[in-house]
Amino acid sequence: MQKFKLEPMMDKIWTCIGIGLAALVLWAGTGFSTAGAQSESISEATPPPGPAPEAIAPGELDVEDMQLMIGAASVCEAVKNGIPRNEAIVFSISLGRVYCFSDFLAVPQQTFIYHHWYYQDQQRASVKLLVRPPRWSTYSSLQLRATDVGPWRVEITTEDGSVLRTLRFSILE
Amino acid sequence: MDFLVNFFQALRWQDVLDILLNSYILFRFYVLFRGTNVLRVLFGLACIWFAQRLALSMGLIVSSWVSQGITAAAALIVVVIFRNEIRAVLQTKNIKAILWDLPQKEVTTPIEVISDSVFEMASRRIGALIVIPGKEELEEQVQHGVDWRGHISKEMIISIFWPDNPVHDGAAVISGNRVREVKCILPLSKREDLPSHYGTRHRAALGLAESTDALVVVVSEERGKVTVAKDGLLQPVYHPAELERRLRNHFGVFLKGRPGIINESLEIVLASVLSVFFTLGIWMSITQGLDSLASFDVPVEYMNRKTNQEIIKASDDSVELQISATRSLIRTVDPDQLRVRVDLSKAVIGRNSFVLTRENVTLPPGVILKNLEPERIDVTLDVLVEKELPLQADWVGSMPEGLLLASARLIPDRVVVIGPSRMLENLQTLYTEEIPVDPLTTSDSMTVTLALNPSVKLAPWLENRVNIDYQVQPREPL
Repeated sequence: MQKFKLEPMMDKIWTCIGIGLAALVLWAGTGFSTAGAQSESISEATPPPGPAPEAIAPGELDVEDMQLMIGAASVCEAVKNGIPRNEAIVFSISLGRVYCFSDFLAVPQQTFIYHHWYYQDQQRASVKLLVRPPRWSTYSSLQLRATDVGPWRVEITTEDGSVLRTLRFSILE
Repeated sequence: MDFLVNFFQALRWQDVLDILLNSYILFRFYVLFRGTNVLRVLFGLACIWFAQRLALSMGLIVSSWVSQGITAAAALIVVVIFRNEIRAVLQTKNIKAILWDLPQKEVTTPIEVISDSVFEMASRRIGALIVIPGKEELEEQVQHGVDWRGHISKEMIISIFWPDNPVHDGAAVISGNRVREVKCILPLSKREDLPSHYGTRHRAALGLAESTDALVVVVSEERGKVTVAKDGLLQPVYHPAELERRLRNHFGVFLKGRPGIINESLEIVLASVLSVFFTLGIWMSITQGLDSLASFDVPVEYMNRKTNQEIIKASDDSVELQISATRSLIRTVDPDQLRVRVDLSKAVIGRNSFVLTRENVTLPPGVILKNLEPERIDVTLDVLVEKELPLQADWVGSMPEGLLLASARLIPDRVVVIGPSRMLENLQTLYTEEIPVDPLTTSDSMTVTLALNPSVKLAPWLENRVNIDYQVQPREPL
């Protein structure tokens, strides 16, 4: 903890290194997720905004005691500046794309989470997303086709398959 | 062997009744008309009818047509020719006698006494006229004389015809073992070819014999000769034994122990058996010869399924039955009378194959199974299990412009269902019925039902009702 109390110059250097590493890992994660997508209608999230807007300073969390904790999660019409827009449970197919946004309040360590997209109990896509400590928000999206009208759900799971949240919605004509 | 099996399978209780009823009618015909020419003619007609059936089966069109015509015409002719016999049977016998009385063939008339009396009178030159009725009634032909009702004895007969007796003139009518009437007047024959020595007695005897089946014995007063009139003929009789024989023939009775003569009870039994066989032959020629085929699509019924088992899949839901029966019967067959049943008591979870046989098929009496298709049915069974499933609203339609359905809370949000394990294994969500979103303009609540698969049922303690609290919000421009 003493280390974070060095002079401002060192803080800037560490911050630059951190941002650089984060960008590198994010780029790698983007490649992974896209590869993991099982449907052309799915595109992985555009690079998430990284730390959530209300990011907690790393020094304020006890990393060893933390568990991966999901906060807000929703299906929405768009994600702008890391914020979901027009969260809803029904979407017109004319939108062309819907988004699944998930905000992780506590991330103990860098890990992957999954967004599994199901159409009437049949899995249509699975998107692997990177989340990083201490807090992270990320999203995936579904490109809509004419045959996608009907009930859907997105299961947000950990890497080992534990379901963190299930979001249910419908695509309307 | 197969023919017999098929025959007994096809036999209905109605057929048995039909055969027995007609056999009895035939037997009664025999009983009532035996000894007369009617029966012989009927037998001849039956032969022609069989010949017609035979010709028909052999494809002899003209022969069949001719014999059919003869049979039809002969039936009418028989009624005309034998109207007297038929009338006699119907008039002289009561309903009980026609329907079930067996003929009493006991010799009640003392033939020997009559014979001795007749020849005694002949030797003494005492004229006599004795009428012994046949089956026909003599009411119309014989003018009544004096009631006598005396038991027959030689002395009494001689005394009746004794010249000084007031009733000696005329005929005595014998019935059974009694002299029923005396001093009866008989119709006279109008024949002109009779010998000159035949007097009024002979003419009267012949007159009655011409018009009825009665036998009349005449004793000539002048010549002391005995003559018998029967069937329009006058025949002299020279010995008592000959007269006895004629009387016995007239009564239809034969002497016991005579070669070639059958016992009467045996004759009745034989007649009844032959009646059954004869009727059976007619029945078979009519019904079996008109077999026709028909096909029915019959749904398969699965029996004795264990309570926790469910049929997941069956290779066929119905079986095509090809059946055979008489044309008249096949027209009356109701598809509901045909059943195909498969016993699932020994079936196991998973796929089961059943070979369908005649034992699986239930048919109405008289109908024979010719073929069934398919001959094998595969049935996949599963065990029923419970599973808790989350609910999801199935929204349809389109939201009003500028609004979005922000959230919805389903109460309950999970339910327990019961269904086949393999089906529930893949079922992860239970959807509501389709809910149109078009009318949703403000936040509110609603009650809907679940869209359940026919194989899946809600747990017994649950109702198929779901409350939904939903939130409608303005849609922000992106």
